[in-house]
Amino acid sequence: MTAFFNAVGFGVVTAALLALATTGLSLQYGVSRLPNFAQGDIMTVGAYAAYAANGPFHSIAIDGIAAALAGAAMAWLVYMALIRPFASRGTNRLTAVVSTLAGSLIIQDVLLIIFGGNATAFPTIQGATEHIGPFLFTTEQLVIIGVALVVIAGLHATLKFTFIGKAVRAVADHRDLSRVSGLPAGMLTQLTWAVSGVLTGIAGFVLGLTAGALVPTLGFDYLLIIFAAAVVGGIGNVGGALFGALIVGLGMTVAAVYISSDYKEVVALILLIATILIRPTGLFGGRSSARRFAV
Amino acid sequence: MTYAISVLTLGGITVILAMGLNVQYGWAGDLNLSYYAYVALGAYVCGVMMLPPPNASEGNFYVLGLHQSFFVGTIVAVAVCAVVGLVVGSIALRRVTGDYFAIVTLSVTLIFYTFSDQYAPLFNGPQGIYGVPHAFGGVLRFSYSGYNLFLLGLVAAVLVVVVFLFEVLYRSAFGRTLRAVRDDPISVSAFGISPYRRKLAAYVLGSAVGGLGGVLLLQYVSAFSPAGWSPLETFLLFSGIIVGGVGSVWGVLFGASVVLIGVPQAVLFIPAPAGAATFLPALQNCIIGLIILVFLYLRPRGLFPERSPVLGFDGALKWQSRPVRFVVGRVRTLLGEGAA
Repeated sequence: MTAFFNAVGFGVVTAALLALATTGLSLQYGVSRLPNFAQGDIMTVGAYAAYAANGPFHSIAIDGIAAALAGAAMAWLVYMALIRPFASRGTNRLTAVVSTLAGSLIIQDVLLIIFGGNATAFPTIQGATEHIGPFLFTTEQLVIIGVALVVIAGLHATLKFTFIGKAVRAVADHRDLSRVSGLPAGMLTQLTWAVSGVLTGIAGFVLGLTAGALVPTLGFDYLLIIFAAAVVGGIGNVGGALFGALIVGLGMTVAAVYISSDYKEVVALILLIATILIRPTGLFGGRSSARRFAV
Repeated sequence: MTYAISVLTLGGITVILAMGLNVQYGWAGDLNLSYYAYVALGAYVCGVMMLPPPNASEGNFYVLGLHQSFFVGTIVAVAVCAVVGLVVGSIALRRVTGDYFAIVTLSVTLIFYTFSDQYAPLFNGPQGIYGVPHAFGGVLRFSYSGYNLFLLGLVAAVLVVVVFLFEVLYRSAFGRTLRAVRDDPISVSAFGISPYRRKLAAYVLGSAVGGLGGVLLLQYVSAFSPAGWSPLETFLLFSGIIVGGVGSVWGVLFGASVVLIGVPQAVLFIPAPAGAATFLPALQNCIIGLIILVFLYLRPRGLFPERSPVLGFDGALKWQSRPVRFVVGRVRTLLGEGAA
C-alpha cells in the first residue's frame, strides 16, 4: 500500500506539471483553434532558460521567472511566425499544423546546436521529506504543487473577473463578434499566446526540476502527454485541463508501479486515443464543443 | 564511387518513401504522422523473416526467425504493413480527420516505438536486429562492391515502378476521386462515393509503399534498431513533398531528390566545430525545417503544383495546374459558410 500512496503522491506532482502545460495549450486552442505541436518545445526552452539563469544567480525563484519570460517570448514567436501568417490567409488549417511541426523541429535542433546532445544537469531544491496524510512529499514536490495551484488560480481569476480576461474569453468565443464590439482581437490573441507561454515555460522549469537533467527533446517527449491531458479533460476550459491532468498524471504513475515504468507513456497515449475515438469532447466537454472541434 | 553509390541508394529509398507519403498527405489530404512506423515495421518483419531463429545464448530474442529468402520476406513485410494499415486506418479514419488524425497517428507511432524498444521478445529491444543476409545472396554471390551496385539497381527499379504506378493512379478515376475527397468531401459523398473508403485505400496503399521502402532500408544498412529511427523522421519526408508540390508525382520526385539528398550532402561542406558530433545533423534538420516554412509562406503549392483535369469546351479533358476547386470553394463561401 505504501507503494500505491507514493505513486499517488508522485502522480499529483506530475499532474501539477501537466496542468500548467495543458492550461497553456487550452488557452492557445481557445483563441487559435489549432493544436500547437511546438508546445513541448516551448517547455524545453523554459527549462533551458532556467538552467542558463541559474549559472549567474543561483536562485530558484529567478530561475522560475527566467523560465516564464523565455516561455512567453517563445510562445509569442511561435504564434507570430508559425500560426498567424496562415490563420490570416485562411488556408487549409493543416498548413498551420505542419508549420508548428516544422517549428518544433527547428527549436529542438537550435537547442541541440547551442547546448549539445548530452544531458545537462539541472539544479534541484534541497530539503527534507514531509508526511502529509499517507503521502510522502519532498520540499521540491510541495513547491511544484504550490506554484502550479497559485499560477492556475491566478489565471482563472484573471479570466473570470478582469476586463482583459473577459475580453480574451470573448475573442475565444466568437472572434468576429468580439471585433465588431471593438475589441482588438489580434492584440488579445498575441497576449493570450504570451500568457500561455508563461504557464508553459514554468511547466518546463518544473519538468527540468523533476527530470534533473535536460536534453533538447525533453519537452517534445511530453507533447502527447499534454495533448492527452487536454483531450481527456475536454480541451478549452481550465477546470477540464486540471481534471485531465490529474487523470493522466495519476494513470501514468500508478501504471509505472503496477505495470512497468517503461510503459507509463503508453498508458497516457492509450487514454488519448480512446478519448478521441470514443468521446472526442473529453469527459468535461459539452455538446457545443463537439461541434466546435469537429474538423 | 562507393560513396556516390551509397548516397544514391539511400536517396532513392528516401524518394520512394516520400512517394508513398504523398499518397496519404498529398492526395487524400491526411496529415499522417505514423508513416515511419510502417517503414520500421516493414524493415523489422522482413528482417525476422530472413534471419535464422534467434540465438538466446547470445542474448538475442525476436519473433519468427524463419530463414526465408528476400523475396518471401518482402512480400510478407509489405502484406503485414498493408494489413496493419487497414486495421489502424479503419479505426482512425472512421472517427477522426484533420489535426485529431495527426495526433492519433503520432500516438500510434510512439506506442509502436516504445514496444519495439522496450519489449525485447518482439524485435530484440534496443539492440534491434542485425546481420540480415543480403538480398538474393544465396543465388547471386556478389562481391561487396558488386552487391552495393546491385542494391542501387534494385532501388532504382523499384523507384521507376513506383513512379510509373503512381502516375497511372494519379490520372485514374481513383486518383481523381481521392483528390476530390481531399478538397470537398461533402460534394463527393453527394455523388454516392464514400470519402472514408477512399481515404482508407490511400492509407493502406501508402503504408504498403512505406513497408516496401523499409525493406529496402533494411537491405541498405543490413540492421535495424530503435536508435536508427525516430517518429520525427516522417516529418523530414514532408519537406520533399511540400517543396516539390503537394500531390504532384513528378514534383515530389524532384522535391524529395533535391531536399532529402541535396541538403544532407550540401551540409557536409559546412565546417563543424571539433568534438560536436551532433552539429551537422542538427544544422541539417534546422535547414529542412526552414525550407518547409519558407515554402509554406511563399509557395505553398510547391515548385511543380499538381495538375488537374478540366473539361474543355470540346468535351476533352485538359490538364492544367490551377484546379476548378478554388471557384467551387469561393461559391460555397458566398452561399454562407460564415453562418456555420
